Formats: sequence, structure tokens, C-alpha cells
Amino acid sequence: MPRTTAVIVGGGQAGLAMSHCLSRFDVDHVVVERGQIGQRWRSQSWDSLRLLTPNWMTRLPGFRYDGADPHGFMRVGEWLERLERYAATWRPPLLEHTSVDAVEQDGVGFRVVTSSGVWNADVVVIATGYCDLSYVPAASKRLPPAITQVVSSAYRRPEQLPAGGVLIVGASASGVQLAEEIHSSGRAVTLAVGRHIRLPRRYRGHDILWWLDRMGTLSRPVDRTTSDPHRRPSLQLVGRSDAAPLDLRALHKQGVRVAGRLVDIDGSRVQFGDDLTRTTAAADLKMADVLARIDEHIARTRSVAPPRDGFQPTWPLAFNATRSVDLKRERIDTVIWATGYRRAYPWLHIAVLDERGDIAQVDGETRVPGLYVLGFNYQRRLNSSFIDGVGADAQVIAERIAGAARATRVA
Amino acid sequence: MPDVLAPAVRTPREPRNGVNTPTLLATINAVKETPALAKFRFRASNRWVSGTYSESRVESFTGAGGEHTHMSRFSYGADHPAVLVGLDRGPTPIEFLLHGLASCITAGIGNIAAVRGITLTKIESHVEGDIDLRGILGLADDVRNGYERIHITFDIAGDAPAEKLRQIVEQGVARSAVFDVLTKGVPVDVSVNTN
Repeated sequence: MPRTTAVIVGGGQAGLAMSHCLSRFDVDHVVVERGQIGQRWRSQSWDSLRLLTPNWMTRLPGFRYDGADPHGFMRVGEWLERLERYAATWRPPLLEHTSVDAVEQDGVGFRVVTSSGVWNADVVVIATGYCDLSYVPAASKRLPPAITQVVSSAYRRPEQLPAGGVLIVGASASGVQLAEEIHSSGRAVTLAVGRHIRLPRRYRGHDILWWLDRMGTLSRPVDRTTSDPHRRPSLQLVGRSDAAPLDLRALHKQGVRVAGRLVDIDGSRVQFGDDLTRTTAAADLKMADVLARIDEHIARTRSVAPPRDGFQPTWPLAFNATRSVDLKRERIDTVIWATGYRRAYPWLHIAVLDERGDIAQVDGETRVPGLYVLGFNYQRRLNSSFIDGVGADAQVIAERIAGAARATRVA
Repeated sequence: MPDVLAPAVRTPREPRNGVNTPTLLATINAVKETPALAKFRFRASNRWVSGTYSESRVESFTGAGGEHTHMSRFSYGADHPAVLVGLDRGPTPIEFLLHGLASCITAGIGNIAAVRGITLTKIESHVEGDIDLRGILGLADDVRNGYERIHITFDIAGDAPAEKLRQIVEQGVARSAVFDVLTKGVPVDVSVNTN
């Protein structure tokens, strides 16, 4: 049975960053990847998808964007090329097309059963990411069979959908982008909106993430007392800087029908909550608050920046919002679920899951010494699940692993 | 705000008096649900030109969860009249207060009447402020700088009995931001940058 110090499960940006950091510490390890590098990007992205972070923000340990368009937003294909080039710089011990079938405790270490053999390891890092499986509300089962249901991770392009209207459930980054793309394909789109985080793409002359990066907002430690990482929606952003912002106002103007949270499905009849004024007002106020903090930062640091950009609130859109639709009568024949993700670990035979089935962790450490997670939403900092944030978390974990490995050698 | 609304419950909710009543009511309900929407910050900037003449610009304000730009860049000059050694290129600043008071109460009257289902045909007002300029001229310490008294008269007509119209004016006064600031005062912080 081969042995190694660390088995990294997953060869996406998190697993590769982890491997890079361990290599720098000279820690012996393997990266087990069920498909190819960045498999989820390959298998779960729609055709037009671009990264939500500007190119300059594509930073990993030992890697910086070196292309010609630092303020652009790369397509998934370009990102995968860069990820492969990144891996080529130190050639991680990568087992591609290898699935992990079981991880179990074995004395003080772990036994990792893969499709190509069993490994003994002192450490396991689960780097399978946050966007594992699409979350679909239970009410989806009550939709008539004639309705085509698509999860956002299976959506590729409008042409794959039936010709009729489309109900998109969820208005975070995926929901709003799909709403725009599908609406412009000539299909009538209704967007069911729950809690969401609104942000403008650009503010006072810079990308919004440029300001938040500069202010240190994104790398702030997560406040565990107030934030439930699983309940925080993703940023309502689109990866493009050359066009008008993509928010509910813009979608409404384009002709997308904006409704409240989906509350019930009874056959062909879908009901929406009366919460749209509340959720949009909350998002408007939160955005105003973020922008006011940028204004304060500019004033405090005496930065040179163009004057404040105006922005209209979105809550007045809710005044006459649709409360229910009859899918059949309105010829809506597709429902797209852009309702977030959940995770499942049927191969993890160690009791570290919380009541929701997520791995309970603090700063990447589980209650079992040597078992780590990497790349989770808000695992340590606000940007832990960003490409730009996973490296710092990997570095912290690598230091622990290297420290423990050294201690073992000395003993 | 609830007392503005109370009589509205059974009246038809359509635009009236040029007031978009349905939107007004929906807005009030939204604010009821999310009180932070009611936080506004108004702003103006002023630049001295020469003598007693200066110009104020009113361009944008924050509120209702947005950052709003006025439809046009409003600009107003203020001056002193010749008798007060100015060139009279605009009303005096203290006359702007009279404008603020009258227009504020009048806007309220229009809204309140609309919500109460009353169609108005006329709201006119005449406002006067008495001031003893020995105050600002520094000639008498016991004379205040500002108005000693302001008097405003409303002429109002509409499809309601006189008593109802009178109540609407009273309510307009009771809900006037300018009336409130003038009668109760407001803390004003002054800070100075040099250079």
C-alpha cells in the first residue's frame, strides 16, 4: 500500500494551490482528481460564463495574471488554460481520472481508497469545493412532468431549452446572468428573487472588487458570531466591465418580469412571496452601505477618484410584482433552479459532518487532527471561496502540515 | 405618517392633484416595512462669486437605498439688494427660507389631499418675515440675527368643505420639514478647511 504525507482530494484551484504550498515546504503528497484539472469548471459552466473577478485578481500562490487585459474577465476556457499552465510550473503529483471511493481513519492517519489504489496518509485535505451539487427546493417535485427542469450547473445555452417562457428561480450571480441571456434569446423570462446581495460592477472609476480588495474587506476574517456561511447568497455580479450593471433594475428594463421568492408550487400554479420589497430594499441599503464605506475610504486616504456614481434603488420595482403565475397558461415550459449549492460526502467515513451534512470546520480544520477542508465559502475569510482567496488558506494549512511533519521527523 | 394615511383607507387610490397616490402609498408601506429606507441626506454646495453674491448647486442626494442625481443640475444665486450694499443678482438667503417654508407646506398639502381623496383647485400662499437688521449689522446685542416672526397665509380651494380644507393645511404644517426646522431649530456643525 503506497503511503504519502498528504492526500489532496480535488484538482481544482484549491487542490492545486494546496499542492503548490506543500511542494514549497517539501511535503510529500498526491492530488487525486476524478476528471481533469478544474473538472467542475469543465463540467458545470455555461458557454458564455466568465469569471466574476477581474483578471488581475486571478492570483494563486506562485501565480499572477500576466495577460494583456488585467481589467477584463476571462472565459472559463482561458481560465482552464491558465490553471494548467500554473500546474505545469511545479508538476503536482496528480492522479487524474481517479475517484476517491472512501476516506477513513486508520490509527492516527487515514486510509484513502481510490479507483486506482489505496493510499495511507497522515493528512487528508478535502478540496472538492463549495459548488458540489445544485440545491433544488423540495417543491420542485410538485411541478408537472411537462415542465423541463434545469439546474444552473447543467445550463449551457438558451438553445438547449424549449422554445417557451422560462422561470428562473434565484437571483444571485447565476440567476441574473441566465435571466439576461435567456431573455435576449427571445424567451419570456420570470425571475423569482429571494435574498440577494446587490453590488455595482464599477464604482468611482474602479471595479468594485478593486476597492474591496484595497480596503482589505475581502480578506477580513469571517465573523462566526453573525454569519452563517451557508445562508449568505453570492454577489449579484456579472463578469464584464464594458456594459451597464446587471441588476434587477436593468433586467426589469429589458423586460424580465421580477417576482418575489418562490413560496409554493401547486401543479402548474407557482406562487411568489410578498417579500420582494423587503429583500430588494435590504439589498439596496446594504449596497448603499458598502459604497458609503468606499466613499469614507477615499476621503480618509485622500485618494483621487471620480465623484460618487448615482444609483437607483430597486425596491420600487416590487410595487406591482407578480404574486403567482400559471405556467401552462403563460406557456412557461422551463424552470431553471439557480438556488445555490449543497455538498455531499458519501465517501467520507469519518464523523465530521454537521446537521446539514456539511463538514464542520474552523479555518479549514475539522475536529479530527490531520483532516482539513479548503475552498469553502467563508471558511476563514470573506474571500475563502474566491480564486484569489484560496491561496492564503492553503498556505495556513500547509504550514500546519509541514510543522506536524517536521515534529514527527524530529521525534 | 400613519395619521396622514388613516383617512385614506376607504378612498380610491388613483392619481389626484398631480400626485401619484398609488406610488405614494406603496412607498409609505415599503418604508413602514424597512424603516432604514427613510434615511436621507440632502446636500448643497455653495461658491462665493463676489461681494454678497454666491451660487449654490443642488445636484444629488442620498436616500431610500439609492444615490440620486437630480434631473438637472439646479443652481441658485443669492445676493443682497442694493439697499444692503449688494447688486441684487438673486434673492437674499433669508428670502430663500420663505420660499422653502411655503413650498414645503404646499407639497404636503397636495399629497395629504390626494391621499384623503380631495381634489384641490388652488393652493396659494403669501409669506412674510419680520427682521431687525441691527442684529446682523452688530449694532444691538439684544436683537437677534434672524426673523423675529414669520407669517404665512394660505388660500385653498377644492371639492371639500372649508373645515376639511383647513384640516389639510394644518396637517401640511404639522408634517412640514421646513416648518419643523424653523420652529424647533436644528444643530448645525460648522467645520473649516483652510487653503
